[in-house]
Amino acid sequence: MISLSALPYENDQAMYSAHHHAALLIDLVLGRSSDNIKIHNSNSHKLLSGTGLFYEDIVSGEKHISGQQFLRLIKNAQHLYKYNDLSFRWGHTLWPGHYDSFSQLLGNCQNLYQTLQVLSEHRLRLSPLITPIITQDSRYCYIQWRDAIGLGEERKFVIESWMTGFAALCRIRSKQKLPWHFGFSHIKPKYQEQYQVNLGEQLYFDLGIDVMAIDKAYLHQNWQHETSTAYNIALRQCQQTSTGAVSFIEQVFDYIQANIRQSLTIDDVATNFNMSSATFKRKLKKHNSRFQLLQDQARLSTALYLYQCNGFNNSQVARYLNFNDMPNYRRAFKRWSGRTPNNLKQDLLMHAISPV
Amino acid sequence: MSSLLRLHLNKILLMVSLLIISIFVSLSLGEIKSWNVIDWLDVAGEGGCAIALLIWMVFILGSRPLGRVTDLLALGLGFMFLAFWQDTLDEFIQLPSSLLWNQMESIAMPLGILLLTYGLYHWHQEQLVLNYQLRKRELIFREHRAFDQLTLTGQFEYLSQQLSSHKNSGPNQSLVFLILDINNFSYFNRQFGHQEGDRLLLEMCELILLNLRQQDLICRYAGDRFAIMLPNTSLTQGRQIAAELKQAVKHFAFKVPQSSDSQFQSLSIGCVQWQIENNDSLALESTEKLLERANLALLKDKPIHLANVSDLA
Repeated sequence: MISLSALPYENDQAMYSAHHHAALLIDLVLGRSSDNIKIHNSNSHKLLSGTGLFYEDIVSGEKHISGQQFLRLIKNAQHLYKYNDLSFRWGHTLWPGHYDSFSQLLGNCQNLYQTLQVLSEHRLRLSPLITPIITQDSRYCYIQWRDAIGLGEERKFVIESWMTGFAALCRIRSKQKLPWHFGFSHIKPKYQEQYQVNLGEQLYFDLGIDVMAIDKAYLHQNWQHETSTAYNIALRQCQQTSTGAVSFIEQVFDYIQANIRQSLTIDDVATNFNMSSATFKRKLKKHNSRFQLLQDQARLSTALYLYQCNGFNNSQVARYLNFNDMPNYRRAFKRWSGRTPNNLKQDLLMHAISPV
Repeated sequence: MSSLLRLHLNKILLMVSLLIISIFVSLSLGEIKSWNVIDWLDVAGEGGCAIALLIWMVFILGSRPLGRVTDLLALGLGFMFLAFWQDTLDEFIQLPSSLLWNQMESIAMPLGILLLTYGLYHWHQEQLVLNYQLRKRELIFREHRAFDQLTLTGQFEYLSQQLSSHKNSGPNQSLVFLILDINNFSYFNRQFGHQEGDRLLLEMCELILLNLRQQDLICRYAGDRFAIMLPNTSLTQGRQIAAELKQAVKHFAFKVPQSSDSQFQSLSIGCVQWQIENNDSLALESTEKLLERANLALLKDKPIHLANVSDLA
C-alpha cells in the first residue's frame, strides 16, 4: 500500500482543509459563546493564537493548515475549554462529517471492513492525524491507531477523539452498539467516566499501543441493503482528487517496520531517505519524535502482534527480533512499554477477550 | 469580573475622589515630614493594610451584582480603607494636632467596621436563600471547582467525595445509588447539533431535579449520564423514584428550532443499593464496586442489546 515514490509531506506543509476536522473543534469550543459576539471574538482570538490563522480563513472554506498549526489549535482548544469531555465531543462529530465526496464514500460503506479500508486509503482527507492499521488473527480484528504527524503531547487527546469517533460512526451505520474493546498506551486517566460513557465498559490501559479490537464476525456484517451506486459514484470522485501522499513520519515508521528484523541504525535509515543523519535527526525532532522512540514503538507492536496473533512465547519473540539473550530482551521490552513482557501479556486486551 | 466592576462605577469614582481630597487637605493644612523622621515600619504596616482592603473591595465589587448587601460591604470596607489611608498619609505629613480632620480616622474605622458587620449579617441571610436554591445540587460541603459548567450540578468528582464521606460515617442508613442515561442521545446530537444537545441536557437536568426529594443529590457523571445519590432510602423506594423519573422524562416535550414536532426522550436507569461487603465485616463495599454494579445495571436496562455474534453468521 505504501509506495516510497510518493513524496512525503511534513508537519509544516499545509495539507489539511481548515474547514474540515479543525473547524469542528473550533465550533465546539466557540459554540457556547456564539450568542455573545464580543466573547465570541475574544475567544476565537485566543483559540487561534499562535496558529497564524484567522477566523475568516476558516469560514472561507479554502484555507489549508499544516500539522503544526493543527496541533497548536488542539492545545489552545484544551486550554480554553477547560473540561475533559472536549476530545470525546469532537470525536462524535468527526465522521462521516462534511468532507465532500469523501464523507459520502465513508457514509455509504456497506460494512465495517470497507469503512476501515476507506478511512485508511483516504486518510489525508478523512483521518489526517492518526492512521488505522488493520490486523487480524483467527478470531479478532485489531485496529491499531498510529501517529501520522508527530502528535507529541496531544496524542492522548487525539486518540480519545478518534476512538470515540470511529465507534460512533460504526454505531450509526450498523444501527447497533458494536462490542468494541479499547486498549490505550496511556495509564488510566482520572476522568475514566468519560471513557465509560463515550466508549464503553471494555477498557484497558497502559498497554503500550492504542488499539481497538472486535470479533471478526462483525467485519463483513452488512449494514445497509440499498444499492451501492452512491458508494461507487463517491469512490470515482475520491479517486480523482486523492493524492496518495504519505506523511514523513509514517514513511519512516513503515521503513523501520519493514526492516524490523535488522538492527537498523539511524544512519541506515537516513541514507535510505537520502539525508545526512543530522538532517534526519532534525526532521524527526520537528515531528516531536526520535529515531529510538520510533524503533521502540515498531518493536513493541511487532512483539505484541507475535504474542497475540502467532501465539509466540517470549524466547520466540526475542529470537525473531534478534535478541541474543532473554535478560536483554526483557530489559528492552521494559524500556519500550514500561512493563515486563509477562506483566503486559496478562493485561493485554487480546488476552482479556480471549475465550479461555 | 470587569463587567461587574463597571456596574459599580459610581462607588469607585467616589472612592477615588475621596482619596484625592484627602491628599489635598493634608497637603494644604500640614507640613511634609523630613526624610529621617518617617517610621518605615508604620508605613509598611498601615499602607499594607490599606492595599489589602483595596484588594478585598475589588473582589467583592467584581463578584456581586448591585444591591443593598453589596452597598453595605463596599461602604464598610471603604471607610476602613480611608482610615488606613489617612494613617499612612500621616506618616509623611505632619498635621496640626488640634485639627478636626485629624479625628477622621478614629471615626472612619469604627464606622467602617460597624457597616461591614451589618453587611455581613445581611450577606449571611442572602446566602441562606441561595443555598436553598442550590439544594439537591450540593450537600454538606461546597467545592466550586468541581461544578459542571453546563448543567450547574457537581461533576463526578464531587459525588465520589460525597459517597466516601457517607461511607466513612458508617452503614447505619440505607443508601440507594442511581445512574441514568438518555437513550439514543448521540442520535439526537447528530440530528440537531451539539448546541441543542447541550440545551436538552440542561433542561433534562432541571426536570430531574424537580422530581427529586430535598435530601437527594444529582451530579453529571459524563456526557449524557447522570448519577443520583438517594440517602435514607430503601431499594423499593429507590426503584419507585427511578420509575417516577422515567415517567417524567417520557412526558417531557422538548422543542427544537429545526422541527415543529416535539422531541421525546426516554431514560435508562441503573438502580443499586449500597451493600455490606461481606457478612464478616460491617463495612460497605467500595465506591468503585458500587459504581461498577450501577453501570452494569444501567446497561441491562438499555433497550438496545448487542447483537449476538452467533446471529451474524
